[in-house]
Amino acid sequence: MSAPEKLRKLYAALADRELNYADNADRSLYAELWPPGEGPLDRLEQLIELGPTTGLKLVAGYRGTGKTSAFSALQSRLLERGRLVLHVDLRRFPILGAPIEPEDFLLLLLGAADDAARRWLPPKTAIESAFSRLRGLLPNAVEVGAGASLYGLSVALRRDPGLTERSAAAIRPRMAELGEHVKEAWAAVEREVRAALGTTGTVLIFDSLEHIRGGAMGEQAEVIRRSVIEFFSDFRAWLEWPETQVLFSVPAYLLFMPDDGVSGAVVSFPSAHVRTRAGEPDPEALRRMRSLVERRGDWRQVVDSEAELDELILASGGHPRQLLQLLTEALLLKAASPATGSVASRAVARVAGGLVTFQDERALLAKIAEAKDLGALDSDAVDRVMGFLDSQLVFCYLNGRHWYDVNPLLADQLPRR
Amino acid sequence: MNALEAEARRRLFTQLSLHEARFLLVFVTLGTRSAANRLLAGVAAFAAARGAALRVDVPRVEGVIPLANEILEASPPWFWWLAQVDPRAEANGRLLAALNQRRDRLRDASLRVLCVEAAPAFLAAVRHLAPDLFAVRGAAVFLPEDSRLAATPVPGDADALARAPGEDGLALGALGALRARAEREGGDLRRILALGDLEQTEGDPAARARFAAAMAAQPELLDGLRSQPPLVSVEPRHGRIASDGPAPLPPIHDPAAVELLRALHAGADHDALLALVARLLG
Repeated sequence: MSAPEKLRKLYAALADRELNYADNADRSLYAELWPPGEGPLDRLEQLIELGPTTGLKLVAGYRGTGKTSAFSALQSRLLERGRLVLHVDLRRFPILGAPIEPEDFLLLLLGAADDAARRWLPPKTAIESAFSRLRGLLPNAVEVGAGASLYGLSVALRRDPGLTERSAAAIRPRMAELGEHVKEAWAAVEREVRAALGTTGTVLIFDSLEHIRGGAMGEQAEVIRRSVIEFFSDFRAWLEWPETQVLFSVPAYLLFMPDDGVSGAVVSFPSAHVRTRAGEPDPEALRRMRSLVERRGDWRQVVDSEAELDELILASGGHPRQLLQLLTEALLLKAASPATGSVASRAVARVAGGLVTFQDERALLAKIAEAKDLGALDSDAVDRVMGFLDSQLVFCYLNGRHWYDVNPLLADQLPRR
Repeated sequence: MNALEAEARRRLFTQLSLHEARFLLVFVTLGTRSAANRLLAGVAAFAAARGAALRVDVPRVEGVIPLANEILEASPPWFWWLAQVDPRAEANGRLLAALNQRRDRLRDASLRVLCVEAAPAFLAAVRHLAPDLFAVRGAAVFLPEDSRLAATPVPGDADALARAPGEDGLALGALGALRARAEREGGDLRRILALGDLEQTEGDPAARARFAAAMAAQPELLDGLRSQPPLVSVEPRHGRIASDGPAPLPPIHDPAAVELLRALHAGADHDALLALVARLLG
């Protein structure tokens, strides 16, 4: 293979994308960033294997930390042990940028889960009785043909605010009934799937609710945030579906808002702590991040030494997406000027240049960098901190307990201490 | 073309040649119209050599959704260039937010390159407006900024880029930051113009002195304002300032604010502006 071809191959391998663990090529790229038994994937697996067959588990998601790829790995591992894992990516549904309305959100979840389950069933499998009771809750204005799927209905509800309003008004006085009907309907679907596949249990993953804010800002973002907190505080029992372990990937603020009565956020997907809380490089985490890079290809095409590679890894803050971005940048610099020497520092400077912050953000970021904790912040800073976590300005870490630090690429922008 | 611009171009075209498929979002931060045009010409040639169409658009706020749909429904491969003539970058921001909502339709195995002219501060706003697109962005290409040209007024006509590319300066970071701050703070000019913790110490002479020092340290803030079409327009009969765009900022009634904005757009010198700012805050 010629040098340009090798470079092209490495460039493609460094693409930031969700890995499909069932695909052998993708599986070879998957790297565990934590010691055995300590990472979020292992923890989820243990909870599912050892826990009761029914229950809700919240997974705090951060963008770019490999959560969806880990869900894919979990799906394959559990399937090998006879468990069916149904994955529902909520980004496919019209939920972004709007607050949760419990009634139609629950219908949407059921519709989406039903849709995911039916991919495993023969076409036109009739599971009508439970659904017909659900349809009976809807107002007359909502026309549902005999062949209409609940999935289609729930998406239609989401897309038509008037329809949503009418159906919510009709359902609201009968919410307890709705919750029971949803459970009955799901139980019927789950039974069918288990019987058809001969699986021993079902795990249902609702992925990516942490994206619900969409592009909403300010007051609207706050309304959305409150609606998520309320839903998981007040209606979480509705998500405890029969014979099914339900995993919900949720915004991280559910993790650190105990006053709102939200509990059960048992697993989070943090960045790898390539530095200790005291700021010293962590050799074990560095080794694992190197392994992630090695799985993607020959990094010596890009940087000349392990020390340079470590410079990129430390600058990534242990955030896999940012590491891939830094490596890509280094590769592009190297490819554009092959004769140039070390590219690591220049790549770090270039990627850092794309992280622009406002002056008032820097004051808050400096506080986080100092405290390495969010407990010291005012409560009205939560929205902005969530924005920081959303957009890679602040990373979450976990050794024993959660702690937080500012993206190392922002170091030059923060006031000197 | 100087060495920095040449390096940035090399970097972008290296990436384009390696990026055979998939969606690539490129932010291009440009200091001069001429640098923009040189890069645009290069991208056009690159697209043509691959049999792909290049389309240049100057998004307008009212046309964001139709344009987003056009982008999503266009047959790949395509190259799309979103110019930023609107100094507030509002249209580009809304367009990216609309694409963010539908980003799954952008990610496929076909080559799609979306180049967005972006002031540095716009990148900060994109983090909030389009958090998922921000995560999948392919590159941020920074071309050198020419302060001499940046101070040149930009034509107010939004079609200027497509019609007659010239040597005019492009929107700079200061305005993107101001706009984002204006939206966040509800359009209160005191807050828009305040830096750091100044608003907490209004009326304090020491605070005003700090403000003057801060403005002196960031001359591009006022220079950027002076060099652009009005961020806000004055309605003299009512002594009122309102946005000239379709999504207006809340009106500002403070006579001192009106005077400051008039002075800004009349090209008052730095010292005079600082005096007006001090009066506004005092």
